Amino acid sequence: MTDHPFDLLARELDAAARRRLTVAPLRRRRSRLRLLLLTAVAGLGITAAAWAAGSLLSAGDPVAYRYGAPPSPDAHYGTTVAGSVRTLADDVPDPDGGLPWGLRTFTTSRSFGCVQVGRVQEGRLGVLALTQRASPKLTGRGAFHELRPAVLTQATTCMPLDGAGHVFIALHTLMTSDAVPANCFYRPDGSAWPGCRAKGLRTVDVGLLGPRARSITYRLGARRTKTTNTLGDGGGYLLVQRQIKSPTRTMKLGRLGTVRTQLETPIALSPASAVITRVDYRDAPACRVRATTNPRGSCPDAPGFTPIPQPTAKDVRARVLAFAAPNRRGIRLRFTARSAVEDGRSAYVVTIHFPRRPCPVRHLTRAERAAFAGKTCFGGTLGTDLAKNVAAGDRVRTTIDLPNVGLDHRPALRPGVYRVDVSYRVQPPHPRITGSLAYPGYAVGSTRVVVR
Amino acid sequence: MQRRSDQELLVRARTDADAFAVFYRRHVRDVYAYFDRRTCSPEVAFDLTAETFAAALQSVDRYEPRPEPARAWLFGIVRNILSEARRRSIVEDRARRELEMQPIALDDDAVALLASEAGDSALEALEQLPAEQREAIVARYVDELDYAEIAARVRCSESVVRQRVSRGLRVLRARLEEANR
Repeated sequence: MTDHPFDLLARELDAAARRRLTVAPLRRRRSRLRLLLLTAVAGLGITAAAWAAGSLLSAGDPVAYRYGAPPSPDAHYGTTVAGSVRTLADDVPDPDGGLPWGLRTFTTSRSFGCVQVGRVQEGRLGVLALTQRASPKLTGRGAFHELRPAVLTQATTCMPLDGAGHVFIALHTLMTSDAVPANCFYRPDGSAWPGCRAKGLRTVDVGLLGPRARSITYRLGARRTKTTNTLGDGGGYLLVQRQIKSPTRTMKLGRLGTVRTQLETPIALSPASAVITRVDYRDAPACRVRATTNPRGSCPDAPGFTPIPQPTAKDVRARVLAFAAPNRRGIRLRFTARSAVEDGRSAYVVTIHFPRRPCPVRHLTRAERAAFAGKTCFGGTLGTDLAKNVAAGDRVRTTIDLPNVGLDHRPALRPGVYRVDVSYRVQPPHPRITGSLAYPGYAVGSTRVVVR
Repeated sequence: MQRRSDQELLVRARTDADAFAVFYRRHVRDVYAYFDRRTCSPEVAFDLTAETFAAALQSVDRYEPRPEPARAWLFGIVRNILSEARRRSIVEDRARRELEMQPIALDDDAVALLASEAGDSALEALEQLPAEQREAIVARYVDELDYAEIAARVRCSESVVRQRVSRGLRVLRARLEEANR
């Protein structure tokens, strides 16, 4: 008798959940060991910070590209545009001393603007530990790992450019003093999660507020505020403080009593945290900032922001031709791109609607089978981004391979009528923080493929 | 444990493996059905389901209760996994690898068991609705779009969408009651 796949999956998930829960006690033991060591160092009259300030760290491996290979100029986020790299700050002090913090920005070949935050040694931006994809452990501590101006690496965040090519981004995040994003969450009662040591954490506010941003005012401790000019042409800022508790709201939750949830979003188009209180602009009214979970932040239509232009439906309409690939494993497609895809802010998307299929009746009773006799069920759809640049007027020729080929090696195209829709999707006027394109986009055209 | 709400289960799952198991049992069939309707293949739908719950388990520390149901959080993950699989034409197994989960091989009997999950009279009744009502109901209750988004998608007014959803649900209810007699 075969176990039901859902039971097999339940067992695997249960084992994984129990493995995860064993990590916390280990972290606690390590924290205690580290505390003892630090106490011993302090007893010698030397703090770790003072040591770091006066000493150069040895050079470790540079931070790797996240996906193991250098990025491509025409795909996903693209590659760094030569000449766009700007170091906006390299001397922001850490609250406990040691290497200063720095901020670098650059744009990519696919029209994303990126910010990188790290610590600075000998003019280079870097981090003092490396994150692992497969485990919460940090490696390479005690060495300086250079953070190269490349996308999708540790401590880099990117946002689509606005309609005039400016970057608007505001991050409010927790990092360790190693300049590594802290995977540190809160218990429902608001207390820190085990392994999340408040002492070693920094609240980092960093962003680009656009070309007309002149200064920001931010909280410094409980009662003081400070105003500082923005950095560079793009309205940059970088604030590094000891961990600041985020404002929360309380929700009632059945038997668990009440829980607290955060009232801030860690990434937005404009400041959204309780740290920054005001942004002043040249020749425009100031924006008062309040903690919000709105992904556009407190100043969504900031002076200097230009919405991303949107095409009209008739700008993209074209005749679509499609037919089955000779090996019957996909559908070939031809159409003329009336609107160009010049970067990651737009793409042509193909959706294939499969023919209806006989309803699965193998395990039904005879009576149930009779009820399904002669009926057909929804056949499914497949959507694919044509994730590459296309010039206006170019003829697009592509083959969409159907995914079930990889699992059973039978010809994927069943007899029937396949509907093929092509749409042109763009970033909405206010870029999305995830970089995803607006759904459903503009219809280019549709056609049908009959497979016999 | 069985009586706890989804939100309570997810909060408890940070420190209690059993809570996540209950949450999984409660939703696995709906998640599987969602994928099965869109991929047309039991193996692919199961693969996507496994990756979804692995990703949910990985994210459970970051889950914060909100006014909307926890199911919406889960189906947010579902949609991300599906769109990523469509975009890349491959089902990711990143979350499962990171959790060190063993791959589950499906034999013919297991596939048949999965295929039997798809026979759902509600779905059949839905399939028989006029296209515009079916699309409106799917957009509202499966894709969880709000009425304004659906109206923009199908290029008509919000009140027309509300009417289509309401009429469609009325017909569905009547047909299901008739089928259950």
